[in-house]
Amino acid sequence: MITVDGLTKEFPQKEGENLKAVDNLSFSANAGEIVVLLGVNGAGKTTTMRMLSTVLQPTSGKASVCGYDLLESPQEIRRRLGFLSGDTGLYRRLTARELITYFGKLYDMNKSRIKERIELLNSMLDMHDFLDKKIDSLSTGMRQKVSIARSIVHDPPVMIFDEATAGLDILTAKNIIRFIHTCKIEGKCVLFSTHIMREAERIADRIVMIHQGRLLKQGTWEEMKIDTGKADLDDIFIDYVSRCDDIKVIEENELD
Amino acid sequence: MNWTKILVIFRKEMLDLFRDRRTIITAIILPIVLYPFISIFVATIASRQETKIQEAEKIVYVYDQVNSNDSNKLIRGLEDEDSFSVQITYKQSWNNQFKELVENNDIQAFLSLRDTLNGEYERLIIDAYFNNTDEKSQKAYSKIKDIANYTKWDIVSRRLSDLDISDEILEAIQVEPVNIAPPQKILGALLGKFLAYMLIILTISSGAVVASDLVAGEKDRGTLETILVSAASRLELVAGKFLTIITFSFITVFMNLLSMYISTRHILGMAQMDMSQVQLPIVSFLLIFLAMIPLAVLFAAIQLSLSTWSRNVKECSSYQTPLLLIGMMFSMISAFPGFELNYGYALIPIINFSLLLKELLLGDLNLGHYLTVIISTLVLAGASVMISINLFKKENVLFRTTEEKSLKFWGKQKGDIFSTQFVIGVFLLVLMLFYYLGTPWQTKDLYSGLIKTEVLLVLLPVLLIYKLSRTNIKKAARLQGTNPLNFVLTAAAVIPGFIISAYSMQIVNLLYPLPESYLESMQKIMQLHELPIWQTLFIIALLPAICEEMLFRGYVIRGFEKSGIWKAIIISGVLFGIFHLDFFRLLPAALMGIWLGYLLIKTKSIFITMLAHALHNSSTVVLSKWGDQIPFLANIMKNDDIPFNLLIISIAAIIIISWLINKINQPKEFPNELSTG
Repeated sequence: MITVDGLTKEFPQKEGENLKAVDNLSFSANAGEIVVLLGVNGAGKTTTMRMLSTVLQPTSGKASVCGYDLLESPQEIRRRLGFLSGDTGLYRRLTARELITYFGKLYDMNKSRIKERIELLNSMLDMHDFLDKKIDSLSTGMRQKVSIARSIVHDPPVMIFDEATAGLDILTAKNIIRFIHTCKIEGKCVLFSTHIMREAERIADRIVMIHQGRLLKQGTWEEMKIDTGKADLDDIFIDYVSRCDDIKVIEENELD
Repeated sequence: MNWTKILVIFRKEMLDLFRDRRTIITAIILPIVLYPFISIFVATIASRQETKIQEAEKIVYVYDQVNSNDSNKLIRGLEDEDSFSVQITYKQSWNNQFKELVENNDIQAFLSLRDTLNGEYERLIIDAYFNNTDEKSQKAYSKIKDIANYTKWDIVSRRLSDLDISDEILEAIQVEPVNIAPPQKILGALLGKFLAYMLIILTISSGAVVASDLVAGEKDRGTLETILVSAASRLELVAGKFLTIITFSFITVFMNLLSMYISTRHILGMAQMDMSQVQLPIVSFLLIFLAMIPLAVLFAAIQLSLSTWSRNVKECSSYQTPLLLIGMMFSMISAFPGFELNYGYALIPIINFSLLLKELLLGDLNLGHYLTVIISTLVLAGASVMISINLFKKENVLFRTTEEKSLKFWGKQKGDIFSTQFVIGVFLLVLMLFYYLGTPWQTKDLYSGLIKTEVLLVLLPVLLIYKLSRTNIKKAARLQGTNPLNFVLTAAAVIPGFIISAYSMQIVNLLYPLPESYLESMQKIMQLHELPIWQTLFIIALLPAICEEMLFRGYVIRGFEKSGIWKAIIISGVLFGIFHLDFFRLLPAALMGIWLGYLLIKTKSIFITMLAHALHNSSTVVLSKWGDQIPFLANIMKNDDIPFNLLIISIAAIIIISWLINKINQPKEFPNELSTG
């Protein structure tokens, strides 16, 4: 469903220098699988997610979503992709129904299809009480549900969650986690980024660790535990980071 | 591009907008409430104030040193006026105190009466002191004039009757005023003064509210990303938002105009003026509306670009202020007398609309002007739309979160004196100093003022920057020798360069006729009060050549060299044009700046550009002093018209010279440093 091959993103800094936010990153994610993109803040998670959702253009490398190439058919990819991030905002002066309908239309859905989907999402997320209320008057938890509904109104086969639980309280975060599992059951491909190890462990089928824009390690927790010989998640991560730093030190020495 | 989707976006934005109470208030409620309120309030207060001043007691002191029948008659006339309280004084020594009282508004007028003998008759002379800045005093003065006139008639007719002549003899001429300007034109002239201003300000300010919300607002709320990942293309998003701004501007303008129209009618009705014959010129309004569309598109595109560029609503509104200020200044031009639309003004946005509107409201439609205004605005609008679409496609603009490109953080990279931001900052600083210090210095004393400006405001900043940053000035400012042939070629280019520059000035003159006063002041600078020629040459030619070259070619051009040689040459040239703070010389000076920039980049020596600059300015001085004595030139100067073939020859000469300069300054294939190193 998602294949990433040597993806690189550079941001021009002042006077000719470039910052490599994502550096030659490769991984893949399949249908019915939850892949967690794990890394500290600034590791390049958001940049990767934004490239996959075609909002940013990669400097080099390739990636495809549902078989469509990132650069060749971004429009096709966006049609098949749901995107949800922790700081996603909503139009406060619209009602929940108006907002979901608006996005449905942006995804080229016709009226009856939108209506059908809203009915389904309504019962799935339990939004009866506030579907026709203005978003301004909703609680954080309700808004989160509207955000979820917004991101899957077009029933996309691929879901991308960018730090979707960051800054949320336990109850609202739980909504999201439950929703992610639903996605998996429905056979969607889920890519989820976080910097919280425990969260990653709880939901991940497979983990893609990235550090300073580069791939650190890819695999299941079990494999990683065996590989490092450590049980604690934080320790495992730190172990991989230190290995990566060692490599760097060697590289630098070789240059001298 | 899918129009249904654009409409979906447009409809959602309008719905979102009109659910916002602020929007409703500014667009609909405010105009409906404001105009009737203001107009009724102003009208009532004004008329009440008028009667109040008319009836208020005005104190008039009279010093009568004549004390004749005639003077007494006049004083009696003054005393008969109800609103006057007349005091007679006979002491001349108090006159100055009375004048002071008038000046301080303690009394409204002071009259000093004296007389002379005019043939065999006495003539009474009234020295009337009044205060023109005080309305009460003005009113008193006009009443005094009426009374004096009336008394004069009385005295004259008495004198005539003494001679047995009927006073009908005085009625030799009578003026009967008949105003034949149709009410339409009166209304047009009145509207033409402020309607453009109102329309432009309303369009800009209403668009500003919406535009800042549409992109910068989405960044603030974190909704931008959600629409970017939706299946709508960037173009559709921009188009939808764009339509929203334009529609909203038109709604606001329409509501304001309607309300203004109704309340004006109401006031006129109250004043019992006969406006029944005045019909609003519907065709003119239609034409104005059509001309407004490209202008509204232009504003919407600029505002959308600003909104896209800004990181949040707050930043956006600070960028919008200059746009509003420019709109205000440019649109006020129609209120000034003497400005009429021509093809030159038709090319400048806002000004062209403002003048066109005046013309249309007076009922003088010139189709050529009309089309030029529309087409030139359309071209600009199209370019701005392209820019705003491109901005919306740029990821570093949409996700601009780092500080580097924000104006707020300018000056943080102090380490680099050649960074574009820093150079522009220095340029603006010098420009401001030039305006606020240089201009007053030159007004006070042209000679020393010019020297002080050049040395202290132009040269000194550059030297300070290089000194404080410990930069090698010789290298940075290219204070270095070059192939001697370059000096010869540069000198050869002076005359053709001068002709091109003069020709460009002529084109400017054709489009925007130079005012007479401007030509005089230029002449004055050139001749500097008949100073000896070597002094004039020093101030006009040598000094600017050194100081201005150090600033522009020695420093400013460096700020743009990173982005390419040609960009650097053109930008520094245009800045050089702006630096002259003179609209009419902008084009010739910019052309000159570009030429100097080219010389610098090619020859890598600032001495070359100093020579070119000095020779160019010298030829201006020499021509203005002795031009009319040179046979061939005298003719040209008198007719103020350079033959076209002379221009062609000059351009050809410049092309050949620049080709030669390019040729002899080609870097050698194996530069010495490398082959020996």
